[in-house]
Amino acid sequence: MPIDKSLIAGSTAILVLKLLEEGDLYGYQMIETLALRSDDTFQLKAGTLYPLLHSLEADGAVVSYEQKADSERVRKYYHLTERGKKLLRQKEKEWEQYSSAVNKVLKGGAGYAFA
Amino acid sequence: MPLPEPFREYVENVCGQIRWKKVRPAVAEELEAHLDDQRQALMEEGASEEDAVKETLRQMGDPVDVGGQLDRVHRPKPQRAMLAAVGLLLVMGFCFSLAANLLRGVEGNPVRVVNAYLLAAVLILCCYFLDFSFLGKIPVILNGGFLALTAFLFIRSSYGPYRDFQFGGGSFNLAYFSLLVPLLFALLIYHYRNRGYRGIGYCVLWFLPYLVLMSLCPPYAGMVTAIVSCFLLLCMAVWQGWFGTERRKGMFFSLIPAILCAALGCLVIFSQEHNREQVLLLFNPELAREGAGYHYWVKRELLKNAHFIGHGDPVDFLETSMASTSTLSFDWDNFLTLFTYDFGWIVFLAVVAALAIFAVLAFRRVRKLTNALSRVVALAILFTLLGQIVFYLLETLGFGLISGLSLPLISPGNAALMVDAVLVGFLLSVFRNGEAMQTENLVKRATIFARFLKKES
Repeated sequence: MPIDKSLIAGSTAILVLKLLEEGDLYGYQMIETLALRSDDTFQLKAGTLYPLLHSLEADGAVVSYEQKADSERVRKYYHLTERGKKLLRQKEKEWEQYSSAVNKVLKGGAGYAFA
Repeated sequence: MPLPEPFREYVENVCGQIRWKKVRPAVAEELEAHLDDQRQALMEEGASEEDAVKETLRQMGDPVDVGGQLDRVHRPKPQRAMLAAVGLLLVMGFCFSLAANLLRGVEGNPVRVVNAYLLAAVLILCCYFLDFSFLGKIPVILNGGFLALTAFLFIRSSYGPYRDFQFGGGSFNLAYFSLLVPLLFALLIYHYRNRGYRGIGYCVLWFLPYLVLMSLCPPYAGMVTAIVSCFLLLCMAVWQGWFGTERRKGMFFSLIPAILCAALGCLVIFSQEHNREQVLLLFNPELAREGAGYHYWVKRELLKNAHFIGHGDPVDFLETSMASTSTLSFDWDNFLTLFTYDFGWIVFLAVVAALAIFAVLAFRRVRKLTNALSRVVALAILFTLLGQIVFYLLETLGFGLISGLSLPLISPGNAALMVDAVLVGFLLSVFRNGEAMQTENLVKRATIFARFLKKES
């Protein structure tokens, strides 16, 4: 079932940071890995990913470096910094709080409906 | 394989939305690589090239929207805090100049003082708005031209206690040229990176004529700062794998010439009797209070009697002359000592605090720079400024191993002020534009760089 885009938009940063926590990746790799891990639930658009990555880099959460893929192509890899790791921890906490609150309301909402 | 035309158009449309033109090449390169990866993956899954191109573009999204988002991220970084710190240093220098002029009767036209500081501020702003990356495109021309100019001025200069070049009724101490050497050497490191041991050799060879010229132009604080800064930068570059050499071997080939140059520098400095005496008197200048240790001994006595705020206590041995402290004639080499005695330690602490704020802000920004040229240029300038500060403050406190040059932006004196203004201006330009630089320079040693970043972060 396709998921509402607005739901994904709010969690893109945390997903990208989490992927980078495991190792350095380039943009296309991130999209592929995310789709694979989420059974195609998260199909991130490149047009969303790159502005996000550049914004994280400007904030110092990630740093980039280039590496030659073959004789012609150069790929830009992203690496999670200490600052990025702290940001990830913070976002994870926020997400847990948010999802737990949403779950409570959803479960509570069903109870009220039958009352 | 050439990029399909629709991809080129897409990338052009995205980049067209980004107003900061300097970042466009880097963004274009990244997007092109992504488009190519996506297209190849789709073709491997069985799509025709035409379908793969169409699907890739569909997945990318609207180019105007993507470009607009990137435009919001990529803006030159205005350096308000750094500009404020620099402004504070200039205002301090200006106030000290006027105070010297009005309170101590130091000769000099106040209008000229105002003009000098205005010119310095204009120079800083010009360099701030200038794209510093042009320096990295013509390192050999800059170094060759600078060496030729310095050699020419050296031949035409007069030799007194210092090498002064006379022009238009004024004079320029050639020792101040040494403040530009680390910056120029940093450009050579950037130019010869990825050239292995030969690259390290070229850098060392370029340094030798600088060493000869600096050794002929006292005072030597600039030479010492240049030797330390240049070889520190070279070692850092080798350690980070910029030259593509084996780390330990590369360090060996950098440290040996560093030690030899340092030894040569020491030989030049301590071949002069005055400097040898200063070493012996470093901690006890009073042992030669009638001779070589006189100035430093007087400075220490003045500071011993200085208050936190207000004029210091009269000093016994200077009783007849303390009213004007004329025993230590006013000179920009000792203005901070005299103002500390006259107005209290608060003056000294205010100067140190202003310099510390500048240095801390600058180092915090340098840590964030990942581009090779940005980082090496910023570090070269910072090392130069720090060298000046350390030597000057040591001399102010009465530790005169080597005569200092000047206190960046605070000591007046046109030559020092203008050279420092250019250095500070380029430093601010690096912080403003550094992010826009393409990181192509890190391609070959990306793995080592990544390892370095991991350690650092």
